[in-house]
Amino acid sequence: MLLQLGPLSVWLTHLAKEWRIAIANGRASNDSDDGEDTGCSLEPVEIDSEPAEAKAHRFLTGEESSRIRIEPRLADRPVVARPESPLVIPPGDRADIFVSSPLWVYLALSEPSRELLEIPTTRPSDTWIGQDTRNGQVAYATRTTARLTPENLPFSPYRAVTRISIRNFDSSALTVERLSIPAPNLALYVDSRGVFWTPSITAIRDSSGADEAPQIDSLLHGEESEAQRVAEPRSTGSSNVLQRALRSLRG
Amino acid sequence: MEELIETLRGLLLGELGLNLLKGLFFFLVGILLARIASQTSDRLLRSHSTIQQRILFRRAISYGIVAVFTLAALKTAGLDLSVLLGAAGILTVALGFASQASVSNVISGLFLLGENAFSVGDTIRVEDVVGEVVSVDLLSVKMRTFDNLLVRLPNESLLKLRITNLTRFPIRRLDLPLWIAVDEDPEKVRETLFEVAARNPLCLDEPGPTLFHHGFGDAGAHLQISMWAHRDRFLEFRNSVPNEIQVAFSEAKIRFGAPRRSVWIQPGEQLAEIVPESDPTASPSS
Repeated sequence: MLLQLGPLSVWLTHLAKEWRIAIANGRASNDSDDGEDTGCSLEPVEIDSEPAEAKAHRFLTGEESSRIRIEPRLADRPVVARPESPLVIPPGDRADIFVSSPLWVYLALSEPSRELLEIPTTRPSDTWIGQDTRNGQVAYATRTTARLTPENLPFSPYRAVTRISIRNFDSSALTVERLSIPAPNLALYVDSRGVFWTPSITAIRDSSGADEAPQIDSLLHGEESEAQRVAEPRSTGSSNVLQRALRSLRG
Repeated sequence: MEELIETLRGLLLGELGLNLLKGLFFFLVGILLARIASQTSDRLLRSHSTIQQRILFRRAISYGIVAVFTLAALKTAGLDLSVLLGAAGILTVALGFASQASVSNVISGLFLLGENAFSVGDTIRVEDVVGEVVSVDLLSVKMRTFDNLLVRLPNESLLKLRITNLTRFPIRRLDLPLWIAVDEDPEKVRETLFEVAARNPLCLDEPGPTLFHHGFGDAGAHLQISMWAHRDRFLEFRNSVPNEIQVAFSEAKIRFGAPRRSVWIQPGEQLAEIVPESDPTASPSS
C-alpha cells in the first residue's frame, strides 16, 4: 500500500511475520500554513515499487499480524508559528487567530497491538523558545498567515488548526511576533469535513503588562464542538511545561 | 625447625589464629556489603540523579563501609587501634612528603567537583583534546576521545588549564568562515546563505542565522555565516551545512574566493626581456 499525505509517502508492505515500511519525504522544510493541499491517498501498489531513496524499516513480529493502524498525532514538541508580519492588538482589545501546525503519522499493528513508528508529514525546521540561549527548549518553527476566520485558512489534510485568542488588557498596544502552540499538551479532534482541530488556547496580557500563563480550553471552538476526539495529549500539561503562548514586544 | 613449625601451628590454631580468621571474615563481609550497598544505591538513585552524583554517592558508601569493616577486622584480629592512631601521626608526616602530588590531586579533584564546570557524560575540550568525560576520580579525570582513546588528566593540572564544556548549554552556534570572489553580488550571497539555513531543518529558526563581514583580502570578501543548532544533532548539522552551501553556490553561480595576483605587463614590454633566453634555469623573479 502507498500512503500519500502531502509531501510524505509511506510504502507499507506486509510479508510473513514482517512489515516493511519505507518512507520518503519529498519537500524540504520551511513549513507554512499558506497554500492549499488536498493530497491524501491510500492505494494499493506493486511490491518493491518504492524508490531507492526511500528509507526502509523492517518490523519483525513473532505472531502474524495483518492489520495496521494509521493514526494522526500532533507534533512531539511545541510549534512556534511566526506571523509573516507582526500583529498589533490595540489596548483593551482582543483577537482570535487561526494557525495550523503539521501532523505526525503514527503507525501501529493491531491484534496484537504493537507500536511501530511515528513520522512527521513534513519535517519543520527546529527553533528555540526560551529567555536566553541557556534556558529553554527546542521547538518546531512554522510560518503562519494568521487568518482571522477558519474558512480563510487553506485546507490541508495533514495540518491541525488551533485557535489562539489573545486578549490585551494592558494600556499599550501588544505586538505579537510569535505564537507558540503547546502541541504535546493538546488533544486532537477531527470534524465531519475532515479538518483536524486542537482545543483553543487563550493568552492574556493583564492590565499590569504581564503575560499570564496560557490556558488550554477544554472545549472546541463553536461549530467544531461535534468533532470526534482522535488522539490524546502526549503529556498531561502542568503550567511550567506550557511555554508562554505569545512572545511580544510593546508596540 | 620442627619446633618453630610446631609453635606456628600452635599460634594459628590457638586464639591468635582464630582472631585472624575472624578479622579476615569481617573484612570480606565488609567488601561484600560495600558492593551490595553501592549497587543498590545506584539502582535507587537512577531516576533521581545524574551519573556523576550516582558515582560519587556509590563511592562514598563503598569506601565508608570498607573503612568501618577494616577497622573492625583489625580490632578483632587483636590489633590495638590506639597504637594505630599513634602510628598514624608519624605516618601522616612521612606519607605527606611522599605523596604530595597525590594529595594535591585529591584536593584539586574536590575543587573541580565543587566548581561543577563539567560532569560525567559532558563533552569537554582541554587544550587540544576533545572528548566525553567518562569518570571524575580521586586523582584524575578520564576522557574518551572521539577516536576512542582514553585520556587521563590529573586533577591538579586540570585545575590550572582552560576547560571548555561543549555540551553545557542545549544549543550551539556554528561559525563557518567563507571567502567569496570580490565581484559577487553581496545581496545574492546573503540570500543564498539564508536560504540554505532555512532549508536545513536542524538549523534553528530562532536564534536566526547571522552573516558577518570581516573585510577584504587576497581571496576576496571574507564572510562568516553563523547558525544555531541543537547540541545533540550538532555534528550532523556541522557536516551537512558546508555541502549544502557548496551546492547552493554552484546552483546560484556564486564563486568562492581564491587568492589572486594581477600581473600587469606594460605595452611594448616582452616577457623574453625579463627572462633571458640564454639562462633557462633563471626564474622570472631572479
